[in-house]
Amino acid sequence: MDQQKELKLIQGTFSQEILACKNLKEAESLRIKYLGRAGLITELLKNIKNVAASDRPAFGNLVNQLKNEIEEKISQKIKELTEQAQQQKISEESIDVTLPGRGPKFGHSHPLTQIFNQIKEVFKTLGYTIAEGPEIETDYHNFEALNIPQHHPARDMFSTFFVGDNLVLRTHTSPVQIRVMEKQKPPIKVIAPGRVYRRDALDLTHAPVFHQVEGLVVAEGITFGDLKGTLAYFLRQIFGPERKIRFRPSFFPFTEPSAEVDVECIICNGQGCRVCSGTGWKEILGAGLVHPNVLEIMGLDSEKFTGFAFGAGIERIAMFKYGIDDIRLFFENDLKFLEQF
Amino acid sequence: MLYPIEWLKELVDIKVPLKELAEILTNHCFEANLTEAFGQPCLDVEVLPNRGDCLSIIGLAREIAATTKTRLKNNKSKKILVEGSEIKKYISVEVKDKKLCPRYLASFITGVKISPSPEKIQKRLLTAGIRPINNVVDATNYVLLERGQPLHAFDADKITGGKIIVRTAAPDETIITLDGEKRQLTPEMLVIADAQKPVALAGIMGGSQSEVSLATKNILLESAFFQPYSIRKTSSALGLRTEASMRFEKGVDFENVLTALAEATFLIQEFAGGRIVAGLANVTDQKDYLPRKIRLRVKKTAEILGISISTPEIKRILESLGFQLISAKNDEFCFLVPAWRWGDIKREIDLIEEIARLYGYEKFPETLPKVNVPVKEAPQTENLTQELRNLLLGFGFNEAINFSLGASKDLDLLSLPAGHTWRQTVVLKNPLTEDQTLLCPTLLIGLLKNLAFNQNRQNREAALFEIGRTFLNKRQYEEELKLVVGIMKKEADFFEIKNILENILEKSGLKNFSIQKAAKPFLHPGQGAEIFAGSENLGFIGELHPKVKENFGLMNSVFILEISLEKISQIKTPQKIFKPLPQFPQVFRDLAVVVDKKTPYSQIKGAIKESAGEFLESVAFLTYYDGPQVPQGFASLAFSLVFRHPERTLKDGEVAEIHQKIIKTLEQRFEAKLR
Repeated sequence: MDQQKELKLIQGTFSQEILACKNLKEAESLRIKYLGRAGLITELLKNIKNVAASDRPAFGNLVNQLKNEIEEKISQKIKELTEQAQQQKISEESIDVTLPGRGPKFGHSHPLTQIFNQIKEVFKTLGYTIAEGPEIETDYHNFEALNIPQHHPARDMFSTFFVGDNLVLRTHTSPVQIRVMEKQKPPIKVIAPGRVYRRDALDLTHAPVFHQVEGLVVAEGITFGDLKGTLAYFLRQIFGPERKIRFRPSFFPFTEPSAEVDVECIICNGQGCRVCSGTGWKEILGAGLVHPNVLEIMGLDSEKFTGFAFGAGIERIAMFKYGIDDIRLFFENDLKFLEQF
Repeated sequence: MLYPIEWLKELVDIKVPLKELAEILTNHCFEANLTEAFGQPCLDVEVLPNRGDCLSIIGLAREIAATTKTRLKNNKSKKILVEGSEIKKYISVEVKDKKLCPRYLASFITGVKISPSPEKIQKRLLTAGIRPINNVVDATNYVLLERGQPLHAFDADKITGGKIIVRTAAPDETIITLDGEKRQLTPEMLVIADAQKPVALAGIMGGSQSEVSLATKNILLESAFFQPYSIRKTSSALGLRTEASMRFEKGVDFENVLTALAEATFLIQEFAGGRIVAGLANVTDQKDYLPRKIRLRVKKTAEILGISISTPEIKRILESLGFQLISAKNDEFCFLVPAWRWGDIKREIDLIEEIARLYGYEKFPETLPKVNVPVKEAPQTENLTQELRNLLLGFGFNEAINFSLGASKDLDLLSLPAGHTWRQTVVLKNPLTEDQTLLCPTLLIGLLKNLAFNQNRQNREAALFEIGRTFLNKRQYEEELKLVVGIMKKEADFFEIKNILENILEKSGLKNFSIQKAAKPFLHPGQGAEIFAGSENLGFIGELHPKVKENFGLMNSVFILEISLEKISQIKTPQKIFKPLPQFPQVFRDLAVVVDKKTPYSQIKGAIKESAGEFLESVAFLTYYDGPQVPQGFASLAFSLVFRHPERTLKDGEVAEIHQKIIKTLEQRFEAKLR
C-alpha cells in the first residue's frame, strides 16, 4: 500500500515538473531523475521485491504503466521543445532579401569579339572553316596576287604601312584568300577573321589598326546569285530578318562583278539620319565573284572554277549594330564601355 | 566628283526626277547623291577607281543614257581642225619614246588676248574644285572636265627652237613646275621638252617657265595619250597628283585625244580670239591601243550570274553602253570595246559585269552555293582561345583589345635594358605618328596603358585580359599569339593571379607545369616567376616592378601574367580516360613542419610524395605561417595528407609507419622540425 501511495506521489510530482520543464537540459534532467540508472521509477522497479508476492504482478503493471507514461511524456516534451527551439532559430534567421548578392561578377568579352563570334557562328552553320594568315604580309600576297600590280591606281584604295623589303602590314584580310588557295584545291569554303592595318589618322571613324572578316568560296558552278544569297542570309542573321538589304555595283581589283552591300539604317529605319549620312543605308560589305585573273594566278582553271569573296569591317558592324559613335572607344577599354556589352 | 545638272543636261536627256536619277545611278553604276554647289543642283558621285572614263561630264552622261534608257544629245556641232602643213612653220614634234607616249597631237593659235574666262565657265570649274586662271588655261580645263581629256597650253614663244621633244629625262635634269616647286627628275620620268630643256612633266604638270600668262600671244596646245603605268609611277615618285595625272594613270580615250584637241582649240579661239593655224602635229602609233574585240558567251553569262538574261536584252544593254556588236554566231557574240572603256574592259568577265549591273543586281535570285566541302579543323589556337576566354570571363575578367602599335619609349617604360629580346622589334618604315612606330613585342604595353586609363577615369580596380599577337624581328619576322592578364586592386596578392594561372594551365590540358622564381626587368624581383611546361618556357607571372608601376602612373597593386597560346596549343594533351572510383576508405593525416623559409614549398611537397610511396593518394597545402610563434627566418608549412590502399582498408599502424618515414625524410633533407 505504501508503494501505491509512492507511485501516486511520483506521478503527481512528475506532472508538475514536466509542465514546468522549459528546455532540453531540464527535460534531460527529468529523464535522468525518473528513468535514469538511479531514477525514481528504476528504483521502484528494483524494490519490487519488497512488495507482497501476490501484489507484485499488479504493482509491476502499474509501475510499468507509469514508466511508459513518463517516457512518452518526456519524449513528447523533448519533441515540443526541439521544435520550439527550431522555430525560434528560424525566426531569428530572417533577413532582408532585397540586399545585393555578394561575390565576383561575370566578366565581359570585348564587343568586337562578340561580333566576331556571331559572324563565326553564322558561317559555321553554313559549313565554312576558319582560316588564318600572318599580319605581316608580303607585297605579293597583299596586292599582286590579288590583281593589284605595282603602280596601279587601285593601290590608292589601301593606305599602307611598310615594314621591310616587299613586306607590309596587311591592309585587308584578302591575302588569306591567296594563302588558302595556295594550300588547298577547290572546293574551298572559308572565312578568315583578323586584324588589319591602314595608314590612316585616328579619328571618330578611322583607326590605324582594325578588324575584318573575309570569306571565300571556290568551286565548280558558283554563281553571282550564290553570293547574293549567302550575304543576304548573313546580314539577316546579324541585323534581323526584317532589315532591307541593297546590292549595288562597285569595284575591287580582285573581284568581277563586284558589289557593295548596304543594310537599311537601323537608327532611322531608312529615313535618313546622321549615322547614315542622310542616305538611309549603311554600307557593310564589299564582295564579288573572284576575278578570273586571281584564279589564274593561283594556277586554277577559270573556265572550270568560279568563286565569290566578301569582306566586312568588324568595327563598322559593331558601331552600327550597337550605336557606338567613336571607334576609339574600342581600344581605350574603359570598364564603363566594356561592361555595357 | 560634282556634276552640275545643267551641264549634264547639255549632253544627255534626263527624263527622270533628279532624286530618282541618283538612286538609279547608285543601283546600276556608282553611289550618287543629289546636292548643291553655288546654288545649282549637282550630282555628287563616287566614281570607282576603274572608271577613269567617268571622270568627265560626258562619261557620266553616257552612264545616265544607258541606265535611264535615254540618248546622248547630238547637238554640238562637230568642229574639226583644218588639215594643212602651215603648222610645221611654227612647231615640230618628235616623240622619242613611243611606248610611253603612243599619241601626241598639237595645235597652234596665234594672236590671242589673255583675260578672264566667261563667268559660266569659271563657275563650272569652281564646282569641280579647279581654280580659274585665265581664258586659255580655263578652256583646257573645261574640256578636261567635259570630255575627260587633259590638255596643256604652252606659251609658244617660250618654247626654244620651235621644237617639242617627248622623251625621258636625262639624269640630273630638273624642272620648275607650275606650282613653283623644283622637281628632281630621274631617267624613267617622261617629259615634254623643247630644244634645250624640259618644259613640262608629261601628263602631270606644266613647267612654270612656259606657262600661259597675261603677256602670252601665241599658244601651243597639246593633247596626248600617255602610258598609264609611267604616269602613275612618276606621279607617286614625286608625290604629285593632279587632275591630269589622275586621268592619264587610268588610261584616257585614245580616239578622243583628237576630238578634244579640236574642241579645245576652238574654245580658246572663242574666249581669247586669235587665229587657228592650219594643220596639226600628229605623232601616233596605235599598235598597242587598237580597239579590243571581246567574245561573250551567252551560256557562260547565265552560268556565272546564276540567271538567264535573254540574248536581245544582252545586246541592248551592251549597245547602250557603246559596245559595238561585230558578230553573233550561235551562243557567241563578239563586241568591239569603245575607246573610252579601254582602261577597264579587258576580258569576257568585264562584259558580264556590265550586263549584270545594268540588268540590276536586285533582280538576281538569292541562292546558296551547293558545295560539299569536307569540314576542316579550325586553327589549333581557335578552340584554346575560346575556352580560355570563357574561363577568364567566369573569373570576372573583362576583355580588352589594343592596337598592336607602340613606340620604343613604351619599351623604356617597361625598364627593358638595351639588349633585351623585346627590343628586337618590327619597325614601320613609314609610321604616321611618333607614338606608333613599331609592332609591340608584348601585350603588356597595351594592358598597362588600359589599367592606367581606367585608373584615371575613376575605375580604381580592374581585372583585364587580352588575347592577341606579338611581333619580333629576330632573324625573321615572328608573330606569336599570346594571352596577357592583369589585376589592379588596392589589396591583392601573388596567389590570386597564380590561381588564375593554375586554372588556365589546367583548362589547357597541361598536367606537368612548373613555376620557377625568375628575375625580369618589369617584375618585382621577389615576386616574379617564369612558367615552364617541361623545358618549354611558356611565359611569366608576378607583381609589377614598382619602378614600372611608377612609369605607367599606376597606384594600386598590379599583378600580371603573359603566356604564349601558340606554345600551349602545340603541346599534346592526353585524351581524357576515366579512372575507376576508389572502393576503400581514405585515412586523413595532417602534417606541419617548421623549415628554413628559403626552402621552396615545391621541394618539400616533392619529398613528401617521394618518401610516402604509393599509398599516399594526395598531399595538399593547408597553411603557411611565419609569424612570431616560429623562429626568425623560418616558416611553418602545414599539409593535409590522404592515404588509401586500392585493394583493402589501410590499418592505422601502416599509416603511422608511412607518416614516420615522411617525417624522417623531411628532417634529414631539410632539417625540418615537426610542429
